[in-house]
Amino acid sequence: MSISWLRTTVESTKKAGEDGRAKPGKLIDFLTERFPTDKMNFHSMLEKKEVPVHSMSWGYYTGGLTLFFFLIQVVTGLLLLFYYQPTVSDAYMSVEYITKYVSAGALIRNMHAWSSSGMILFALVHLLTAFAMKSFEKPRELTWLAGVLLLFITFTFGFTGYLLPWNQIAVNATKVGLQSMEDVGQYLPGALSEVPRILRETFQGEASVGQSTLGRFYALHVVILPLCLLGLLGLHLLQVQLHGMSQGADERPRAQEKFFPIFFFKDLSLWAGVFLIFFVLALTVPFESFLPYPLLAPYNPLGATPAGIKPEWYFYFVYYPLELLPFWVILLTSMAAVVVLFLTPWIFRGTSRKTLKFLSLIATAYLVIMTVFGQRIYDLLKGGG
Amino acid sequence: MSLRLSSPESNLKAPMRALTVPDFAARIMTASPPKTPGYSLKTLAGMPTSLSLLLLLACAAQPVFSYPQFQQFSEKHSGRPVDCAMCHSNESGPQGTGEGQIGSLDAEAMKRLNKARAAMEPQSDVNSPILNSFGNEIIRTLGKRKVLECMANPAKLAEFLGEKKDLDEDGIPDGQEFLDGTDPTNKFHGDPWKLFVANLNKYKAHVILAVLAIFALDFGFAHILKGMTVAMKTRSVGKDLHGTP
Repeated sequence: MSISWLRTTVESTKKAGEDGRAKPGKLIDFLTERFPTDKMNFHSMLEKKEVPVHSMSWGYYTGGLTLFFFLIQVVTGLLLLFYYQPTVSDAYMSVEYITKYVSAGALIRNMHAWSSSGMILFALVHLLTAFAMKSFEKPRELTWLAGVLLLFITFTFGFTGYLLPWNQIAVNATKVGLQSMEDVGQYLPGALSEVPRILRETFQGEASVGQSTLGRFYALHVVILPLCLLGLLGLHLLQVQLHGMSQGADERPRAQEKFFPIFFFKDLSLWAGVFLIFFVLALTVPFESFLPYPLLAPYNPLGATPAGIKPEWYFYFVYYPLELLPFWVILLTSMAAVVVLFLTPWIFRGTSRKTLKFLSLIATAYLVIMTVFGQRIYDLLKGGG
Repeated sequence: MSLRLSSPESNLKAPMRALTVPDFAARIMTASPPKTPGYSLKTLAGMPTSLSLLLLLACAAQPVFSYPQFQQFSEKHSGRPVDCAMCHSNESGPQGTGEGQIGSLDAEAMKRLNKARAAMEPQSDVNSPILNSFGNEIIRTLGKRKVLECMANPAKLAEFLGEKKDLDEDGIPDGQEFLDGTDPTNKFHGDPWKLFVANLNKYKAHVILAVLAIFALDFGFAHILKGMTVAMKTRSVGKDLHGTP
């Protein structure tokens, strides 16, 4: 019924436009341009599609790699589901069981951990290169918006997955994260100030991080977030295939290569190479070996909080500034950054690629410095270490 | 606003906590070696009440420490937080009533504890309930006398343990794990670079097979794609020849 209503509306609007009585709405214009039905076929989306070859061509591979890591996450995550128990009494033991007794359990778990980092790393690189290449230009605004949402979902995957092993660092870091969420409330006006508290209570589910929290994070991690991600990923990929690769550089492309099979094969070969690297890493370096062992002990609700509780490396760019600067400064900066990210296609519409590249390099430098040297900067400024 | 829930110092202080009064009183009465964790109140049974009270009062004023030297050294040397669980059954150390702590031991466990305490020389049959496999291995390999000697220079412990002892079989000797501040009883924990080198050596056959499999898959995919392209071109040529759209 709703479809027939929509069809009638579109047809009547079109007819009205043809008659000269009224023009079709701007929204319909916008959507028609972003979803060109004449291009929704195998020929346009695959056979005809070409990829420009220039100095920034490597940027076209970053999105594919992010997708590849997501696929590894799905496969390894499904295998982990066979054994993982989302209860506070069994979660830790089930993870131990997977690691120590299940055939290839340690490898699968390690692949899951390593590729989660890979997924976030390449999602960030993809965002920064897409920004530098001005890939958000008309008609690719929806591709950009879907991409930004996908990045946030990826970070949420990291946050929710961190709690599942139910060890000291998992629970304590989640407590800190949820507390930070609630702290936002004091800076919001009126009724809005209650929203972060309500959100925290919703995610936490009880007075402290416990069974309800674990259940909810588990549901988010394995059902809700994957469904959201799949929907947005579908939209993102459809847009990429409909509009093709963006120009990407100011220079004239050296050549145009066929998406299928040339670029597709190169993409697959790169996936194979990256898989090999991550397979060797997962086989040889347990992801948890980077953490102090007291943080890997089962969570003890009666014990003192152990030293060195930190979030995963991909949150360092927020974590260290939070440690060093007043909360409201970080809050304002983060909110501004989020708004700019969502409005990028409109804010930077007239900006040259040279400027965008420069801005992207600054953002990259900030992320690298905070991730790699964050602890040293903290020690230097706080007089620790 | 600080998000740090506790400082690294708080962890250092944990093993230096004073013994409980009954623990200490009981330890003196059973004439155990100095600076060793105490016994439970159960051993006070049968002693004259006045003597017990006297000892309790005398001990209450004197804080007695565990062996924090090894933990502090490992922590300083490695730059990683280290807790008592490196050698003890309980991460908070031997004192208390929790699992693997002196206050929770039954008669049989106390017997094993006393036997471990008396093991001054190496190669003794030691199975202390308050120590984990690494702690017991240290006493078994070195004997308690040598461990006490190492207190002045904890780095010697790694030297005495040698290169051959590797409880978790992760390829990193236990003495090295003590220096690195990693868990010597968990083969999935160690210095990441050392684990990489050791495991690469251990799993080289797996890696070679993975390389071969990936190259074979890539080769196969290349040919499938080539075949698909040829098929697509043939179809489009056929369509052109027959004039079909």
